[in-house]
Amino acid sequence: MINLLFLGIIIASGIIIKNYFPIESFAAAAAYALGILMLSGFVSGNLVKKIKLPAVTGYILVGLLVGPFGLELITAQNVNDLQLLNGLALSLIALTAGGEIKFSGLKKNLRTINAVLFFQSMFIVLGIMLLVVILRPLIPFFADMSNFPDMGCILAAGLLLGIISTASSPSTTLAVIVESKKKNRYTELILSIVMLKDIVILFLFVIGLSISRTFVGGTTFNPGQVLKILYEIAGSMGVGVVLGFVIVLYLKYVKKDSIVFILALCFFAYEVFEPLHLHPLLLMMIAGFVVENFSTEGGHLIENLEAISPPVYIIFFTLTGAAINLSYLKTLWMLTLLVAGFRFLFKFLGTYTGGLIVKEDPIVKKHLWMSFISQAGLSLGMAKIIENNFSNFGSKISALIVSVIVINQIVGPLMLKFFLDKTGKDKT
Amino acid sequence: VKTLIAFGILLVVGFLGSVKLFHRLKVSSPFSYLFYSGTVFIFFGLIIGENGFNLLSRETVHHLEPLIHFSLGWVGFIFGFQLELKYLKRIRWRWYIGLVASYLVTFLAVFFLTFAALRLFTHGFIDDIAIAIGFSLVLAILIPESSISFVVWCSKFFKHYISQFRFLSFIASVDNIFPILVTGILFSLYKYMPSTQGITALPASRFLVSFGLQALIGTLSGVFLHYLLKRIQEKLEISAVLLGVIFFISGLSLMAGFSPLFVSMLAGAVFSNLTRRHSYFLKIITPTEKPIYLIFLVYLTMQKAELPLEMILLAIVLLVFKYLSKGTVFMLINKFSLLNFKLSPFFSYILLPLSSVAPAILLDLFIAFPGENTRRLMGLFIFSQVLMELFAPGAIKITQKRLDKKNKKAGAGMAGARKVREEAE
Repeated sequence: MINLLFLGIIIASGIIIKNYFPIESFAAAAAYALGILMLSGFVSGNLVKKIKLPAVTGYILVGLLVGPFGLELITAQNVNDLQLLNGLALSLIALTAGGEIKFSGLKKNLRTINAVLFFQSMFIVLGIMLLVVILRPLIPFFADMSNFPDMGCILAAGLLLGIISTASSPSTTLAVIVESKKKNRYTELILSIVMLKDIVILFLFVIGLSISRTFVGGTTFNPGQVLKILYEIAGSMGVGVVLGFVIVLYLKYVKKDSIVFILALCFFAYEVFEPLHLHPLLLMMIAGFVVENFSTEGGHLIENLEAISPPVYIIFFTLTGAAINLSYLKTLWMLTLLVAGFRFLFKFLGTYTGGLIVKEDPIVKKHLWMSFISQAGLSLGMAKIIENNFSNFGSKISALIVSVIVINQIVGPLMLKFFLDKTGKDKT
Repeated sequence: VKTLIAFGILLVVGFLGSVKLFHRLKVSSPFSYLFYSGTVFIFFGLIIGENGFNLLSRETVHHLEPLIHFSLGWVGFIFGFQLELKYLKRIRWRWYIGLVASYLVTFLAVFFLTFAALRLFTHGFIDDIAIAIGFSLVLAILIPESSISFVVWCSKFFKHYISQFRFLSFIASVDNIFPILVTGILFSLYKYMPSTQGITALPASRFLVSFGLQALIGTLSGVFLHYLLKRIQEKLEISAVLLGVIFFISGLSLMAGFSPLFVSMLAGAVFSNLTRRHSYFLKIITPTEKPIYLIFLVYLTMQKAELPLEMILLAIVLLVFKYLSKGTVFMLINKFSLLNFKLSPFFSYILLPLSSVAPAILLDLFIAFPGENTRRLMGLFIFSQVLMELFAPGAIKITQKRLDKKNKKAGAGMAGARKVREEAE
């Protein structure tokens, strides 16, 4: 009750301020916006915890509520102005995620990881593609000849939608796992799959883009694109390894003000390497992985990162919520639910088949799929690329992807928490 | 780039050379406090700033501004949080007289000296009398304040002067209230007009409303924070709420044209006196002070203007005046036996370096009154801070020698000196 009252006070004060104080300085407005997001995020996180939901869901929902598509206490400009902080938070989350994976665990679970990754990707990509082709005559969205004039466009759209549907959000997954305070074989398995999946998706997406271009315009396959993505991935991994060892050296020999150092390094990584087309997420994950597995400083790193995790998560997920574009969902909600539903189904089938082949335990076979529902940054980025690359159907399919992500990002944390609770129960 | 290279060479050669040389002379390296306090990070600011390699784009610096605004609020909050009435009531009233006198005398000395210097020697860049008054006033509120971290650092060299250092610590921890208070008043008195790039004075009625609102927002935020944190035990959740409230206050203050430093100081003071877990919260917030000081230094160095020779000379003269004026106050304190121990005027140099509140005030002013003169003030601050911290270890050695000499005179030989020390304790 008291949390609800506080949320009411914060929102009411936000409404008063919005109406009475003209915004002259961008930085003042951004600082104020961040204050509103953090306070309302914190209170709503507590609120949803009372009904046994993960705090991340509360953060995202309150971001939606106060954001540009809700009460507009935070404008789209504010969200844009805070992208730097968002990037910093993402780098910190990625570093934590990398630090949570042990080489021994990766080795032990390698067969399961490979099987789940392979079958999930295969089932979703082919399944969604087939779904789009079969349902084309029945769904006005795909039957629209101005956007999808021929079968080539339909195949391209289906392929790209399928590839993006395979992706999961490492940041959301990690946040829910950290909040659950569980560390077991399953959490390690989930994190490993989610992180490796990001690399696989990057490759699949570039190949998918080239194939789609062939479907649409008859252009031939472009190996340059694959080389480019190879450079991006190899470059990110290489820089990640170097940064990992820099962190190790600092934690080992300097020790002083290590939180400041890590924050500065994450900021540096995001600012310097993103413009070079390297992936801060992958880069920092590798850095975390190096610290954890190639030094004795992994414990120190996680300790330092955990000391700043709640504010980081609140900033990141409330901003994610505020950045969600609800306008597409309003018009495409039926198709969105359909695609999201089939995505769940194919995730289940892929994980089940993978688990069955490597003879995994029933929990993995029946329920592990629930851990891979959430979707965020990478998928949104890919949707933007599709929009820019395909003039006829790009914006349409991108809108559909964004609205499916909205559903996945809200439902995903709930399903992951359900799975984590289930593993706890079954163990006891 | 020239400044950068000069500073870099000075730092590297100075540090390497001095370690050996001063070790031989049995004096700490002049760079020891510079490194201890983190002021050396100024160099980092020079590297990445426009005068150096210009590593950060204007857009990035622009996007960092919300963080700087937040940091201002945070510094104000940390300072306000230390103003616990329970503790302050325990201090003897004579100590408060010493505190006010030490601040006020330096304030007046700096104000009149700066104003005179600006009128007499710096024709060309500060001709307007109102600007000269404003410039002198800002320096006069900044220069008298002192750094508690430096007092604590020095105390290890003067183990026999416990009472004296307690008094100096009291001054250094409380004297920041004056500049923050004056900054709050300045924000209610003047407004920067972006169209004319000038500063206009607000009418008296507007001043009262504005100052009253600053006080009200600060107080209400402190009360709100208290109730919000009342039932939270988790350390990490506390930090999230604190960050959220300070971001909110800082942003709101700036949007309304108030001083985030002043408003947050009030919030911190109110919260500090309401909460029953004072020491628990103090443990959470104090470790953040130094990183924020470093961020300020880097940002200030990036934004500062190049200093003309007159300003460099002014900075040196002001430091000498600060030393002399504080020393005079200490002499008067001894003469009127205000304290029950003797306070050597040599100790006045311990109050020379400025605290993290000084850069915060400058940034606060820079945000509200952006202009070349504020940037010059930033340059002046950076120069004086480096200068004061460079001299610190040497000054310690000199003071130790002088005190020993004085003690020897007073009590013939080492036995007498020990006796005097014991008496002083």
